[in-house]
Amino acid sequence: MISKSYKHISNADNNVPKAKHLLLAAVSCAALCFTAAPSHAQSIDFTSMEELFGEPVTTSATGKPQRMSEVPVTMEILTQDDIRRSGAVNLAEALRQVNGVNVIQRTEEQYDVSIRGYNQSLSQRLLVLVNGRQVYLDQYGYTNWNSIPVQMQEIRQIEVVKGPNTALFGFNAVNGVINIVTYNPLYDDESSVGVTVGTGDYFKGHFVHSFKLNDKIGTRISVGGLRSDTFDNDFNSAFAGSQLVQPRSQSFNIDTIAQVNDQSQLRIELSGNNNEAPELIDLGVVNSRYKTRAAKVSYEVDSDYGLIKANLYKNFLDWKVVGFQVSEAENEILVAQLENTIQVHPDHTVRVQGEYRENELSGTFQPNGEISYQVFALSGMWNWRIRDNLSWTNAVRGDRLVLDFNGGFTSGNPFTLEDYDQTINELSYNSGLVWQATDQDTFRLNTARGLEIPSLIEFGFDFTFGPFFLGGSPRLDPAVVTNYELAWDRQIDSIDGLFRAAAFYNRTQDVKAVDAVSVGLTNRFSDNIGDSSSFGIELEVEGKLNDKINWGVGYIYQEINDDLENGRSEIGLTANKDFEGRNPQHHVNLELGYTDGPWEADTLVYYVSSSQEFVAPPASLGTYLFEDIDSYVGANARVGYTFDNDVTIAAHGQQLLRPQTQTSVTPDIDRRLFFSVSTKF
Amino acid sequence: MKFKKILLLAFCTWSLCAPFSLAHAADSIKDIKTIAKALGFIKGGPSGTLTMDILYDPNNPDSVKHADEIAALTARAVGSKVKLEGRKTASLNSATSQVIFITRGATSLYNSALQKAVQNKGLTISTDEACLEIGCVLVVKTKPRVDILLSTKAAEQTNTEFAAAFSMMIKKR
Repeated sequence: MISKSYKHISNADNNVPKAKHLLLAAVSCAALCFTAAPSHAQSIDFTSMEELFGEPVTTSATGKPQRMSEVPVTMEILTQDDIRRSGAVNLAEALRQVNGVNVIQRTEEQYDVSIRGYNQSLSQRLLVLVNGRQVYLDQYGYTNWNSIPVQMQEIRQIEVVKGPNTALFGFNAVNGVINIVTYNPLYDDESSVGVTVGTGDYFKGHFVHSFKLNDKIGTRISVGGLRSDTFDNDFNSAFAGSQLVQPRSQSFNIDTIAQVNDQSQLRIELSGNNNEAPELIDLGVVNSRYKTRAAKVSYEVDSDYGLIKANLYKNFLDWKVVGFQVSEAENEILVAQLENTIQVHPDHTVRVQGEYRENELSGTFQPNGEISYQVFALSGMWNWRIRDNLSWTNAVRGDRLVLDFNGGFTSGNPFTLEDYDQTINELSYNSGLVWQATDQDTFRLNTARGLEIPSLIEFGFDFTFGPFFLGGSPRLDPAVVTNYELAWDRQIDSIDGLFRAAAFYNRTQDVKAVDAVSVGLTNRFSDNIGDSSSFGIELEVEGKLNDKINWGVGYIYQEINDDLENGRSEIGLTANKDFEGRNPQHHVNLELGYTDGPWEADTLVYYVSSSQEFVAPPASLGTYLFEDIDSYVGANARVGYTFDNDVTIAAHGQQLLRPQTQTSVTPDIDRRLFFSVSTKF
Repeated sequence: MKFKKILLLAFCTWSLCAPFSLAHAADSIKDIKTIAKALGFIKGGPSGTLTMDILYDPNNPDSVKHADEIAALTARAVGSKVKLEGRKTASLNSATSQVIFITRGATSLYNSALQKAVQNKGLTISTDEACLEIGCVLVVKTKPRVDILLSTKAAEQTNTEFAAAFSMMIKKR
């Protein structure tokens, strides 16, 4: 029977001052008092929502919960089924199947991922999050995919937003955002254990366990680790500083959600990763060690005044580049967010958010001091359902960044502490129209302005060696990316599928780079080096033949035109920012899947056209070179069988078409074969 | 030139896809499951097996046919968190459950059904959009895609509130 008594509880509870709710959240999980009444959903129950609406649901497009077909941006969502069936042993390989995502494998475990081009070693223009927590590393502005402390088996969905989304997520969401959403331990009972072994002495193990302490508290814990041999192929043009290590990685993740009362939930996430692997950085291939830790507390209230959410998290990073004098960075990020999303009218939903952020870097990149900044941000979103088939979403965000340098400088640094007392004020926006022209056709028209903030090293690098100085610059401006896009989705019932097309144009002003400008013969600094523009089209069609076979074809054409003053006349190019030559203009994806009862068989074949890769041998600092990378075809595949007792065995592999493939200036990438055994419990 | 090429490409693709269209389908088990799932998002809402009165107009053959369809689909409880078990009724007096399903063509019963739902401290639902705003709190459509329509006025009358996240994803009139 439907009990309406909740309304009285609800009204009474809403009279409690919000400050009291927040105080309650801050005390601790142990202090919570739970009643015997059944719990009700407040946070997004993605599983139930997807089952209900027949399509993935996301909050990554506007902050408002939306069906994927209604978001005002071009986005794709990989579900757990997509991830499992891809056979991918890591996140980057799983992302290959998304049209418009560029994945470059550099070494055994190092990948650079970008959306719509502009990929580079330590790719900077893609913001990556786990449940809304930034895992993008701010010390140099990139994502180390090995450091993400999430097991593939605990991912509910991976949300891929194409184009700038700074107005919602903040800095560095310029070419796109990837939000990795894990299972909700209160709603999803996902537990599994498994191992994967493979060629090259590859071994990976995972353990994921969801359990309920009672019907109000759910927890999921996961641990995982991997090891593998180093590829022993000859180097291409990249410089190798020392004997390369064998990749190792260990992760843990603890995620607890407690239903505080009918209207509110508290979530606590603790996670960490240690990993060591060869990595291509600007100077060549080095051995990098990462140690990350993170703690996040979220409190969400479903009140009469809207869906109110408070987030507080802190990320710790300890990064060491083995064998170099400038080799250690310790970065701490503190983020506090408070937001409210409310439907003020049946046709109008608004969201307001305030954010405070502290970001500090210490270590040998500025050996005598600490570079830091604070960010104060205020943002708003307004979603207007003009008609049932037409909606318009606008979002705007203002950021104020206050830069600071504490301590002293090395002897060659010409800047003063006062030079670092800089304040940057910037606006970003998103505006998108969604028109469901027919039951089959949806059109999206959008524009956005995103901001790529200089990394802490780009701001504050401070390295004197003899008469030479290599440093950052406090005068760097954020790169500004403006994007215009028209997209069309069409449901095609005859193939039980979907056709998607998008055309986009974007322009980046004030591209920034380290080691970009010289003063005299001995001093070199970070600088803004000019503009770049890009035009592209994406086409994709996917369908099903009966219930057993699914297929998909994707194509993206993109050209980039740089207008960069990146010549340092005496030494040539700051080539790491020469996007025009580096961008493969054509990508093609072909997918074919088959499922029949316990059997699953899937393959992805992809084509990447030729490009040029940047080479910077440190033995001759004055020489920046390109190496031609021929076009290549790769293939990933998996065949799996699940027994009645939920044990799954699978044979899978990547780069299957050739024993070795050159994808970068690093050693050629080996074909890899894997065998996995896992079970759900 | 590139713009022209894009337009041409878009036109060609549209032309290829245009002939395909959807056919209308009768209510299916998916409709019932969708209703059951939607009920699961009512704030402080139900769980477990619920009886659902299937209200029909015996003088309207279309209504009778629809009632038979729904009754057949709900002969066994349908759903997961909320399970619906159908019970046909032509009289509002015998509609005692908190979920009243109003069949197609039962227009003469719309308003009184809503009043009955208020009395029962429940709500009215249908798969017939014509019922919205006159008699139904919630209308569910699953073809060509799932759409959930809410009458804000009827929801207010029946004191029906949904979880905020769900509420932001449905169409309100």
